[in-house]
Amino acid sequence: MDIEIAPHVDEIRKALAIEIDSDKLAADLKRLLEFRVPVEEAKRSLIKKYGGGEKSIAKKLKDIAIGDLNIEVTAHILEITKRIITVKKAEKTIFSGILGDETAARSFTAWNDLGLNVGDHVNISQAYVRNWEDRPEVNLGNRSKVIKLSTKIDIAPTGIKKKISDLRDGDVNVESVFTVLKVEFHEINTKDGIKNILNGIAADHNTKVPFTSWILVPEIATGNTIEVKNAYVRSFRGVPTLHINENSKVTKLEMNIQYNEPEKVMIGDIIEKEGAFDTIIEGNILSIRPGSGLISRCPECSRVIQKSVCRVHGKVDEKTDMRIKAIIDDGTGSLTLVLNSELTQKIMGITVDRSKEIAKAAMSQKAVEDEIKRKLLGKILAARGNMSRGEYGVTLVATKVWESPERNGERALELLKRAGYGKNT
Amino acid sequence: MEKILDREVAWRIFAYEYNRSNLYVSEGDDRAPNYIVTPTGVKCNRLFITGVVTEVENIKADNNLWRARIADPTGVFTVYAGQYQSEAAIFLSELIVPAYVAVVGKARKFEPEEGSIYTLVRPEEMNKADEKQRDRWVLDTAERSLERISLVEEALRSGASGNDLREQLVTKGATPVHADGILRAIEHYRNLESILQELKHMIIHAIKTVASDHDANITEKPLDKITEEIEPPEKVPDVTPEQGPKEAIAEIIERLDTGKGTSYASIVDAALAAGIDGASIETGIKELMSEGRCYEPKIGHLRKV
Repeated sequence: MDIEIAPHVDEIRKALAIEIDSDKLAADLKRLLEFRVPVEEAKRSLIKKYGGGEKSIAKKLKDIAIGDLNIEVTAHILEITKRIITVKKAEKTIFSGILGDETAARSFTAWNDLGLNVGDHVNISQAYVRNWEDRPEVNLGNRSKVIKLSTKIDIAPTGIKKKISDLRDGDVNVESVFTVLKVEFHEINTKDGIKNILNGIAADHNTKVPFTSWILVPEIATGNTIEVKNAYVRSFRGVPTLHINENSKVTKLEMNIQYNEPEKVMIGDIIEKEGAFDTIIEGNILSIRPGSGLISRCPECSRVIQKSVCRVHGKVDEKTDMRIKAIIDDGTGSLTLVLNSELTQKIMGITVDRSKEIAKAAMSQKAVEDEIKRKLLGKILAARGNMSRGEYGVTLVATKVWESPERNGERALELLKRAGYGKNT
Repeated sequence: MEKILDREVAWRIFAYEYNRSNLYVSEGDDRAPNYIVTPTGVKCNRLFITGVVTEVENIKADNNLWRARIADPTGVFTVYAGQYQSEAAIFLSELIVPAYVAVVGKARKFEPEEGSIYTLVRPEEMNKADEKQRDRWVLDTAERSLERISLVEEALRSGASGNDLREQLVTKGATPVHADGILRAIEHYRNLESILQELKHMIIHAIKTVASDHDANITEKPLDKITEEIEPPEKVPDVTPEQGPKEAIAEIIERLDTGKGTSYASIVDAALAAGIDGASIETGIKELMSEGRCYEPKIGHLRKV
């Protein structure tokens, strides 16, 4: 059999409930490929031809990809929340949460009540995978089947030890040591009514991440350095977040990890990560992107709109606002810096009303954008905020922006020393 | 879902290093970016400069083509802005020299004859700057350059090559792209060690020009003359690689159209003003017509289909 098509034939055989001769499948597949049918389509049509399609392709959660159809996963329910959404003007109750197996944790949405509860170990077939915030999400539709398993969750006895800076979306059975910098109670609505959870910030020597604890344990208190076993990681708005639940083990340690806030990080280093929490960067503004300056928003949903028409709410009484989307670059990397209305007004030193006057005098909204270019292009700005990676590249939404005090003289002397030159050489 | 290409970083490179660069690489198909590979292994497609404009020249009077010289403490960058960098061209034409400016630009080469490569900058954005910004740029550029030099020096010392060297560089903190650039630089530049020594010397000089303003013990005079000053030849590089005159004419026809087409004479006037010569205008219009992209609603008038 042809080496290249052998793995595909195997995959087809696995997907079928009955035994079909490999050579026959290979011949069929080759024929379809001769017709230049894409491999995926060829496989799908052969599975269908031999009465397959009933049997889903078993996958581990770490291997699922956006666009997968008819997959089977075996996992436990880590979280589940009831949500009411509006579909075609009718209210519908859906269930969303997190699934985890030994390889990864992924979000899921069940479009019907399948009687799922936290801690259930389930086999799900006929599920599909959709894109949710640029990440794969398991979807359970009308045809999906769920079998509750009696077996207990099979957590590997030893977890994967990870530093706070190494946490990635989807990590499961993570073991980490950190100091609780901040913690707050929150009430949330779950499937079984209101539940208290803890939200906070975890840190090691130089990195911070947000965390959520689904259990209220006294060890998780501000200032404590704790060890957490069997936690998992999910991204929230592009930033990895550590989750602690009933299956996790929390121990207070006698040691104390001191968090030292880094002055700033190089852009080239953080863009390698998938997200970063509360980070400080500094660089030159190299480009002001279209859509900066004076903008119009829908008063209902705050979407940016054109000509007073919102794509959801139709003709609306638009609200004027300001923002800046800029490319910031420090010579090691670049990302898109987003400044909200308040920060834009602060850094520009002009209010929304003043901008309106500028636009009116020039009879163009672009006049404000030009003013921003004149003021900011080439300048060095420092910014603080969360960095995330999405469809439009790497973005940092600023919570603070400022101009660092000038210290060229001191820095020149430091650099001379580093270059191996003392004074008067 | 196709991810958008990551934006090319704007490298911080001193004029001395940039002007010493004569390795040009182009990878893959037409749409792949081109790079100037510098002696410290930067694969430079974009750069950011803050310097002093010492001279602005309109080198083709009938054509809106401007050349500016932008000095840093180590040498001079040559910047060309033409009709397709109209914002930058206008900015330069109105500038009173000397002036501090910040420039974001594309790294371009000019090869008037086989084997002699000159490096130029084609501006994307230009803005006025001040002395503090210039000093800060000098220090940032010095720091980045020293980091690169130590990587290349270490690579040379190790004696490694090929994939071994590549891996070694990445473990030392180079990005895979920079590691590739260093490999190419080592292969291309003869006497790389001495080039790096001279560059280091220039960097120290550049830092001292900033330090001398702040510490009376350090005195540093500007360079007497720029070593190996490269004067671009009088021939003019082509600054219109992306768009031929035909496309420019198509745009003009569309822009001038008020709904009934535009007279031939006004299209020619606008095209001449945009710096396209008479012969190109004629062939451009002919081609557009034969391609069916514009037609004559009445004699002597043209309209875009």
